[in-house]
Amino acid sequence: MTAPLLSVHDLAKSFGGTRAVDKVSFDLAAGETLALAGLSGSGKSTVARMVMRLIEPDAGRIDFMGEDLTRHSGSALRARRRHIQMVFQDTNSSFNPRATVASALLDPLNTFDILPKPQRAHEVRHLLERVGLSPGLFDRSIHELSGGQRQRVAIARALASRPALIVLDEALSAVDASIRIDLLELLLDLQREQGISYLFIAHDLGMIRAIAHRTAILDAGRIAEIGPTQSIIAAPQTQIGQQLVAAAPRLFHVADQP
Amino acid sequence: MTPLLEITKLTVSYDGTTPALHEANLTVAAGERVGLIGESGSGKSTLALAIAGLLPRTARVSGSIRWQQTDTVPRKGTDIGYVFQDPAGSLDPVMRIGAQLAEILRVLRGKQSQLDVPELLARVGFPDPEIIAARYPHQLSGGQKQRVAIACALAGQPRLLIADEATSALDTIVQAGIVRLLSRLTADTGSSLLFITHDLALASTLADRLVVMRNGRILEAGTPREIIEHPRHPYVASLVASHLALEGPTLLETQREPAQ
Repeated sequence: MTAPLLSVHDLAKSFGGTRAVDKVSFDLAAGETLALAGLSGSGKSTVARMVMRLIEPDAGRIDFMGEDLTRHSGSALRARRRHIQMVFQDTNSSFNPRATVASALLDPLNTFDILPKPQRAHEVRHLLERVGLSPGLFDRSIHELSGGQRQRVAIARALASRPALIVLDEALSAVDASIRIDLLELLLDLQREQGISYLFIAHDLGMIRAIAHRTAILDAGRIAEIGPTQSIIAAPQTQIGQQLVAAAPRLFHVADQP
Repeated sequence: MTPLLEITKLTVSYDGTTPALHEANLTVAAGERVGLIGESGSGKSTLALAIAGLLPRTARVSGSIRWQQTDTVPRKGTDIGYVFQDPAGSLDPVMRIGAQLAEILRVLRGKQSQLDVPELLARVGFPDPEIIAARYPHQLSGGQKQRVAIACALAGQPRLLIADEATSALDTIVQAGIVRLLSRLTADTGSSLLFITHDLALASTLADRLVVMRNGRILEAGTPREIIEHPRHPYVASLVASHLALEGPTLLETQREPAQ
């Protein structure tokens, strides 16, 4: 059996006496998608940010590609960051609004020294095409793009460093439904082609079901249940799991009058 | 059914040239719950703001809005209650909840108000209204703040409640609770509801009629069953198809075929 790409053990974090994350453990295989579901405040985004080392864990291990990431800092950590990228919900604040599409995508190529310099502009055009954008957007400002286009640029930027893992933190939650389907299909295509793993943070079970092989439901900083997404949705074992499944909007589910 | 609100050929432009809303026709009957669905830029909020008289003064408006079969426009607060997406933006951060509601009651209803603060808070589902009344907005969760915002909108006992993406920023469990609350409140008071959302499935859970908008135009209107089972417009059909259900084949499964 091959070792998992990412293996998190007993991860813990408190903020001002409140346990935001309490002994969270899970594995993620290469080419697999694990969803972290839960309400706001359940700790799902804090777990994601600790995996990215944007937040320092109080305790626990984050084994990634065979090394404990919590032991690294500075340049050693930066070198490993190339293999883990993140896409956020709010593209307005994750990009410099005055930056052009080209500079946003050249940035990771330059930072991680990917490809010889003269080839990088060509690579940017290739990345744009790969995420379904016209290479003609090269010189556009990020703020001129629509929300859906900006999220595609964010995915292209995450791909630029050729990562093994992309952490998607509510990355599709704010885009319109018709665009959301296209982005989910794009993510699935990229995974099939490049074997990328996704840690997919969302509260919408419909979206999670469309993309995640397995799901962990977080509640008050702990994993309430974890398993294949289909089984969790078909037969949730915990109260929070049952509440989440019951609350997912269904077409034609006329509201019960209490 | 008696029409409460009749909108005819309503056109709104913010910049004087491109219409954000183009010749919209819409009737809302007394007691009816209308789900207004559209993605960003569809004009759904412009329509709602126009009904509520909340458009900026510089907006150019043509067409007509008839209220209760007269040529009067609805009065803010007493005829129409408006709930916005961001409850924090509608509440004064340095005023206790009870004081804010008392002020709204005083301004809108004067001495004739039959409602008081604890009763309003109880109506929106707080089992302990006195405790909530003593709190400041920052001491409440997002869902609690939205319940308070609904209480504010109800203070004038409006005939029409407009909920403009009122549940979009909330978790699904909290969202389902707010939808149940809106459903119960409109049933209890007989008021009409204009529920604005980008989420077709959510609107279909409580609306008597769905109205789908795109690019400033109303494309299609009908009962949830008509819209979902027999959409006429291709865009409406694509919206129905883009619903990510908890049943049936998933994207993950249908994508399994090998790439060419």
